[in-house]
Amino acid sequence: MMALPACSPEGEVVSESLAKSLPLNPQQKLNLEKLVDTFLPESGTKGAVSLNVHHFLDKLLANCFPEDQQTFFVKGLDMLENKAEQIYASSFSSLGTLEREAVLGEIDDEDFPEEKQFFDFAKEQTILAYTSSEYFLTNFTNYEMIPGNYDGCVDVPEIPYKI
Amino acid sequence: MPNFNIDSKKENTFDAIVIGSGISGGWAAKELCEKGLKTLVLERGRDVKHIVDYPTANKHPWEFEFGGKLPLDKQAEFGRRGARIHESTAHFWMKEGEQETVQEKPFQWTRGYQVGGKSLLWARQTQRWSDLDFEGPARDGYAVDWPIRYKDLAPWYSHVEKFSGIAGNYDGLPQLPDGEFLKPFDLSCVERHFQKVISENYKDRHLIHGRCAHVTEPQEIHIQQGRAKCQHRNLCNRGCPFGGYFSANASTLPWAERTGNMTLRPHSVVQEIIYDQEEGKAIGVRIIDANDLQTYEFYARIIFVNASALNSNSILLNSTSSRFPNGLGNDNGLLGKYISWHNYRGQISGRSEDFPDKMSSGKNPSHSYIPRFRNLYKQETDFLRGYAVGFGSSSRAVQFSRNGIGEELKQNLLDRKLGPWWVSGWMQGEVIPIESNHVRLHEDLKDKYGIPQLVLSCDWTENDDKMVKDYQEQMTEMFEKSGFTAINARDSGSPPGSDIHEMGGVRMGLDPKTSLLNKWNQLHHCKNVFVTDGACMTSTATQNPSLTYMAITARAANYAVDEINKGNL
Repeated sequence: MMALPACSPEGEVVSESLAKSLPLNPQQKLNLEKLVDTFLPESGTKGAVSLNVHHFLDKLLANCFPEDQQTFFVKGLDMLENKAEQIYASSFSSLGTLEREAVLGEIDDEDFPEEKQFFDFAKEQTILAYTSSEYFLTNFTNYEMIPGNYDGCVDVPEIPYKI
Repeated sequence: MPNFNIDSKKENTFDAIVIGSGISGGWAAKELCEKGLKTLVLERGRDVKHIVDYPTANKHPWEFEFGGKLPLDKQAEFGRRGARIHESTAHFWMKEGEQETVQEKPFQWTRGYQVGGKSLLWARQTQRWSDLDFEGPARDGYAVDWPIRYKDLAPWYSHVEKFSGIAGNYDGLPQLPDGEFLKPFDLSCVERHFQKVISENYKDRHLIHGRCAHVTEPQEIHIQQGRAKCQHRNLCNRGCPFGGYFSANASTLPWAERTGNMTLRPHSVVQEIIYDQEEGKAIGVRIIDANDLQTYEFYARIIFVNASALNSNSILLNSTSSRFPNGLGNDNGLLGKYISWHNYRGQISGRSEDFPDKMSSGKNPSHSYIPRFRNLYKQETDFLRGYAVGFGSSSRAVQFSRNGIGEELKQNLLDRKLGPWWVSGWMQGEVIPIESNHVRLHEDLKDKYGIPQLVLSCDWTENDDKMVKDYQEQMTEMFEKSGFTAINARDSGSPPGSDIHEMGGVRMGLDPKTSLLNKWNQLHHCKNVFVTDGACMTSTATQNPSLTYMAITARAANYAVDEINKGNL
């Protein structure tokens, strides 16, 4: 029997995985990708898309969250589409970075609790996925599986260091 | 023609049976097997072999398929708690429906049903009792007098400490006797500061290095067990592939197995201890196999009951006979009564802005500790006894902003800064055993094995409430004197049992009229049955209890072997 590969951020997405996926149509799928890309874009450092955060969130939601939360999330992806159509008469996924940021700015608004709830949830999950990736932990933090020691009181180094 | 009955009885007969394979059962198994007794260890859960059955031990955070969250179908197996259980330790949690109970009053009963029991999950803090604890009930007039004193247990504390490996500092405090220590884990800058402030301001209060079951300097005896130095991974509850901390799986059980005298039988749910009226003693144990749900009987000269405190009560209560209609050894009707635990309701947190140019490096699997200082030598407060305090300030907070989206958010996530030192304290209060705090078997309701459900009926008293209040006041004062800020002292209001230190119900004592066990942990009225887990505790003191269970078990097991050799058992 073949071992099933894990689907974690930046892991290869392999079709053999038994994990379920959300029932997303092509447009919702694209919106999810563009959503995480808007939160954490590619630049000098890797962004959410190259770490596969969109695939990870799809699997996470589909397998670990109750159905009503899944539905809420999928509806949120449609809501992004509607907002984009309203403001720019264009699909969310066709918009440039600034326009997508503006759409997210619209829903990050306490006056619209449901939209705000979607924004906060999607942002937090994107941050969690990004900051628990191998890329983030090994390049930007002092992550060590086996520290081997503990010194309770050392000087903060003067040279740049990772924490 | 062979006689199948005789053959099968012979096959199922051992010198000793140990019920439970956790922290105390493992010790019973080790001592009995080392002394040459053919020993059957019964464990109701599945087998967990050291290292090979720690599937998540070496996983990086990014290697969990769903970031550590359990899929819904797995969550459902654990009931309401499911959504909060992390994939890294899910395999060591009891599944919903395994053993239903009736909570007459709220009680949080944490069970570790697998080989090794809760020794895979414990907080690993290990302090000796002193005579200020053993003499507590007699001095302050509660429960009954302990039939043993510190001098009875001291050599056995040494015995189990040397084998287990205990990190600690020699502090010379009468209320917390020193033991056989390996070098302690370091204190942080803030802990050293707090230590100094406390000693300058209070005569009887001390902050010391936590004493914990971690091998910080492997000795020959640890190397023989195949255990290595603690690697400071702080992933203890996944099972430690280095054997860096003490668990039955890493230490006592493989040691017992190596003698060739141990038979370990997982999936064995003990239904009752079989009492033979003619012989006037227990002759064996009846189990239900969790896989085929058939009943099996095993026989032995002595039986050690180490099923975990409440489960040991349950087994004895369910072991009825015409001689013992109310449970084995229960002539006085006190079996299941005087259940007690530790009061962890008092909590305090804050932070220290001091030492901005200092930090810690590596990870601390332990913390520091303030031994009991209330009512040590005489009654000083309006509540009985007192509390110890666990104190933690191992590292500084890492701060980063989650503000913005796009490039701004990304820069914020990457721009990590050292924040203040977090400080926190948690109360470990002595709960006075009272008769009304009890467990009993339900008259009708049965669990999935057909065993009567245990009714849990335990509650806080005014003494506990007063102690929580005193804890909050005293800790706030000590935090203020130390210059800590954002101080938040509170009463968690958590139900009994949240401490996972439930004790009593089969208490030790001098008088068979008021206790169940004698000073060697034998049932007064059925001397070949020994109870040496938390159920035997006459009072609770404030120390983390596991080390004392280990010492009591080793002492009782060696006594049992001596008695067998003398022909008395």
